[in-house]
Amino acid sequence: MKIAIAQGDGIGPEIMTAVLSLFDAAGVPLEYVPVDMGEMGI
Amino acid sequence: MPPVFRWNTYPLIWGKWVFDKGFNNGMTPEAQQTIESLGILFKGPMETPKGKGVKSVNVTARKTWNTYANKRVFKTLHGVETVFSKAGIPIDLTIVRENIEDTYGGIEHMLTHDVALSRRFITRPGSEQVIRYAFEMAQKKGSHRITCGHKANIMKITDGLFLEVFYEVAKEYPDLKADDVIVDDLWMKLVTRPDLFDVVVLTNLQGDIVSDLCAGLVGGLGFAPSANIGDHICIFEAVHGTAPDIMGKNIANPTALLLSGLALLRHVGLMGHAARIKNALLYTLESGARTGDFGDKNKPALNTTEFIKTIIDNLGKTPAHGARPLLEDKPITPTQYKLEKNPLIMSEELMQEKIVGADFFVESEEQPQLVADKILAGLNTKFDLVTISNRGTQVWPKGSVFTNLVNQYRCRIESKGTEPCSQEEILQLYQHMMKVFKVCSIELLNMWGEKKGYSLAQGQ
Repeated sequence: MKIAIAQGDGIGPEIMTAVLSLFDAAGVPLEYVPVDMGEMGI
Repeated sequence: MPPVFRWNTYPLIWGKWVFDKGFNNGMTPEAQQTIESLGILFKGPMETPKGKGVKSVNVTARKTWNTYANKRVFKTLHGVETVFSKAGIPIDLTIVRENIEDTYGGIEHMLTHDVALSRRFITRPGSEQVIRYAFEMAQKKGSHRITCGHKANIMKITDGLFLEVFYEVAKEYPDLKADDVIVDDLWMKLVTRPDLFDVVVLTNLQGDIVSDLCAGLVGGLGFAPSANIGDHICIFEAVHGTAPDIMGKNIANPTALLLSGLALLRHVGLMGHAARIKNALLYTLESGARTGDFGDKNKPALNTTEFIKTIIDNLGKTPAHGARPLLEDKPITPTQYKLEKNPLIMSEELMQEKIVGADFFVESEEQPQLVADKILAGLNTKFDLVTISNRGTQVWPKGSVFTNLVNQYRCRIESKGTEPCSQEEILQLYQHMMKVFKVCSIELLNMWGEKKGYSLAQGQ
């Protein structure tokens, strides 16, 4: 299953990367599609 | 659709400014299309550029995709010290906030150079969507109480409608204890006895304020997950700010985003994965592991990567408090919808509607009696000038000379005996009014059966 990911601005990319690395380590069966959104976009 | 990545292989590209590229809603058309086709968005905090005349991308996203319910769960986390954890008072609150309507339409006007007016939308179908969601959710989680927070004693028409719908829906859930509390009283009770409440549903602005208040009860926005629920698209996000002062330093607390991500996993049916990660998080917090923004300052703070690594190492462990049962994953809930046209949500009109007059908002620096005299001279005999108010307080036919005036009056003209009248007749009234005043705004007075669709002036 795919979900859209907007990592956000400021600390957004750091905490998003952290959370998704935890999901990957726990074997969460999701795939992530990055989207261009917010001040910084992708 | 852009390529799909496992996140750890995804290359970070910096410096593309979505707003600067001319997308004033803060997202590219490709982003919108991707989100609409996938149905689920997991998002970090976003900045709205200030002074560029653009609206918040957070609010735009919620409104565009009709995520009508904002669900935020506030629960005591062992290892996160608060006034209440020290007092041994457990907190487990779920705030459901209406997410589309209210003053968040941002429909605002200056009526005169001194007077600004905001329009506040509360609709029956919009209220029903969020209230029904709150009841369904409360029932599923076995809640003991569901409370409607409101200010219907003052906003009799708008919050009155929200409250009316709340009790209509409540009839379908006889096993749930449903009650209501006026919002100022609710806020006082939440900071003194938060353990008395379970699920609370509110309109948008009041819900916005109360949910940040509740975040404070459990340790701040760093521990407050948020889910925006709609029929077709759901957004899971951290509601804290973008913290540009610590950006790039790898010291931010990822807990709120993680908790929002776990709500996402449960939403799509991945109950087992969500429980296993939640237990690892709770175990980690109990062990005293912390980022710099919370916990025992005598212990060294971990950076974001180390904090997450600790949670990963704790996968499979069980916390002493609040361990989640390791449910099986459910089949993944489909989240892809295709819509051909905008859904219209509306209720059945049960009573005959009629127009019985209009409120004219006019600019004037004159005294109330003079304003009344000007209107009454040559007024169509089918109509009465019923009341004139200033900032909602009646100043004519009765009032007090101690009431301060601003340069804008609301003049209510009703048909005698609430006889139905046509829009044509209202237009003639407008033409009468504009001869003597600048008319800033006009609002029709509607009735359904014997029920007036407008409030009385203070003192009327």
